[in-house]
Amino acid sequence: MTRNEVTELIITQKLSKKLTLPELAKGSGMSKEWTTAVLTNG
Amino acid sequence: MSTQLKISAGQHSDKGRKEINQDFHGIYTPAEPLLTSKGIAIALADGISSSKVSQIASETAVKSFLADYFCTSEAWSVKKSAQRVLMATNSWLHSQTQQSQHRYDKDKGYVCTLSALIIKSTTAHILHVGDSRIYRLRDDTLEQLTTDHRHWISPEESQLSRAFGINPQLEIDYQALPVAKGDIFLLATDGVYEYARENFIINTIHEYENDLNGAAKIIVGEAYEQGSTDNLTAQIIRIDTLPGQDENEIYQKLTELPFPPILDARTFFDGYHIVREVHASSRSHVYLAIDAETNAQVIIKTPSIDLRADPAYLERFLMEEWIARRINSAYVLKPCLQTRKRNYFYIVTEFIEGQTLAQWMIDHPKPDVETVRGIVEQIAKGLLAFHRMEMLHQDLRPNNIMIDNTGTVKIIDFGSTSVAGITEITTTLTQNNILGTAQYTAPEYFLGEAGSSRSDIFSLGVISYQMLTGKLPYGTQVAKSRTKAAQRKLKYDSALDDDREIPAWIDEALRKAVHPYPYKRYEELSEFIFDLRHPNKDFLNKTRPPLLERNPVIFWQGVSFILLIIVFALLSIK
Repeated sequence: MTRNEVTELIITQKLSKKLTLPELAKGSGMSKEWTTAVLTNG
Repeated sequence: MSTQLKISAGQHSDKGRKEINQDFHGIYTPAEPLLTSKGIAIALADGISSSKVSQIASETAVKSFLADYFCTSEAWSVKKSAQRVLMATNSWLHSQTQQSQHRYDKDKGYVCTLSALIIKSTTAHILHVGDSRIYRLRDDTLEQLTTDHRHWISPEESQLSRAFGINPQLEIDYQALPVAKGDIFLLATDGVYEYARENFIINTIHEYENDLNGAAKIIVGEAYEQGSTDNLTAQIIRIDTLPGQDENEIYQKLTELPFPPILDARTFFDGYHIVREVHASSRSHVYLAIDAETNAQVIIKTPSIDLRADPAYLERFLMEEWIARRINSAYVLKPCLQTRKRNYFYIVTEFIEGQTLAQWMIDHPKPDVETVRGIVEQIAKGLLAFHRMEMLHQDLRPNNIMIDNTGTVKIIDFGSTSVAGITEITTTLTQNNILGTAQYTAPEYFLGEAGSSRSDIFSLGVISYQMLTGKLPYGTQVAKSRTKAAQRKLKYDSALDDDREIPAWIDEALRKAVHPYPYKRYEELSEFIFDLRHPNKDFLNKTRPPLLERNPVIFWQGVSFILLIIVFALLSIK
């Protein structure tokens, strides 16, 4: 999988499961700013 | 007395004569500190009636924007923060259409308009795609701030020329406007603005100034009465108070902690054993210390007592730690996070055992090209960490770069660093126009222009040049050139030297990195680093400059010598 595909998969899961970026950040152990930067680096 | 940003808002949405409401809208006012660092966000989206899933697009666009914008770094500007989250949602909406049965019929996909307004500090930031509108009502004049992205097929029929979710890439209109107390913003979908008359809107907002929800409902109702067949949404935002801080209050906050005294070796200070003073200047004192709890060697930086009455200096002093905490790079100095309460005004950072690049250059006057590349690449990685956070170091020089005992390079001292997200916040403090060190500062700063990432590339270019040649590309002329005319006369002194083996294409890469005009420099650090390792074919076509240009002294000495021989020859003939 490419980086873009992984990002898209995470965003799809985020939106379909109504997850927030802080929740994703908590799960990944990174800061919400880091998570946002990674997932929005289109 | 300090004041916070305060707005009054009213909004109303109605499906009107349609079966479902495909409009979506929202406002998010965060608590401090986000209110100051990110502002208040308002968003409105309008689905397209040809699509049965458009309401999902408009809801997702607004909800994601209002939630995700506030998760972006405080260091980022509003523009970058908002564009990044909008692009991500746009890309997701587009991929949903591509995966659906409507992949060949965009009119039926996950598409909507989006108009967003962010009020941060004393500025309104507008981001817009599609044909919803944002207006400003000031002095009884309703001014349309956005441009409709609509393409007219015939006088009666039009279609969206730009929309959210329609393409994988998205061009978003952006503008920033200063706001004044009492300014009113109206966000409306076409179902409203095409039917409610301008005078009616203005009068209603004035008449219902204490009930903006009521005003929005009446405007929507009027559009419906006038025959609107579309969904109808209106949002009204009034600026009630603009943020402002009293300078005395800021000063009081900054000086809540007492100033440390001048520290002597072997004293115990706030949980640290002071080993020795490392550096002292009129601005600060720097000490090597040992943390009594962890036994780790650290650096303690204390402000100069002489400057304790200067709030701008104190704020800048604390900003250094703020910046260091937000940059995560092996090539940038790290702060030491304290778990215990701090009782004095100072900052603590990691201790780097090594030497400054300035000292390294003295010890290594003729380094080989590969060693220089290795150092420059590490500095560039550190600098890139700043640029990713929308920060400019602005004072990159050999004394602000350390090389530790393992050969790792680290950028230190963030005293001149500018942070886009912070620059947007207006304070009453007079900011010192802190420039870097003259020889390494980009020429545009001397014209009073704002810097960019290319200004940091200039400084890195000068450092690279100095490591290879031991001199500066323009001597000391850059700091003396304070007009455009003077800067036009700056003459690059080629790095090529008969004593050193520097390839001509590396000299051309350096020439480009330190060009006096920012737009002629490299746009990205990575391009410069690449060109230092790989001969750029544009440069290869250039021939080696003549001796007159490379070394005019030797050239004229040679000419004089030849003339002398000719003179002797002529005299001997006679």
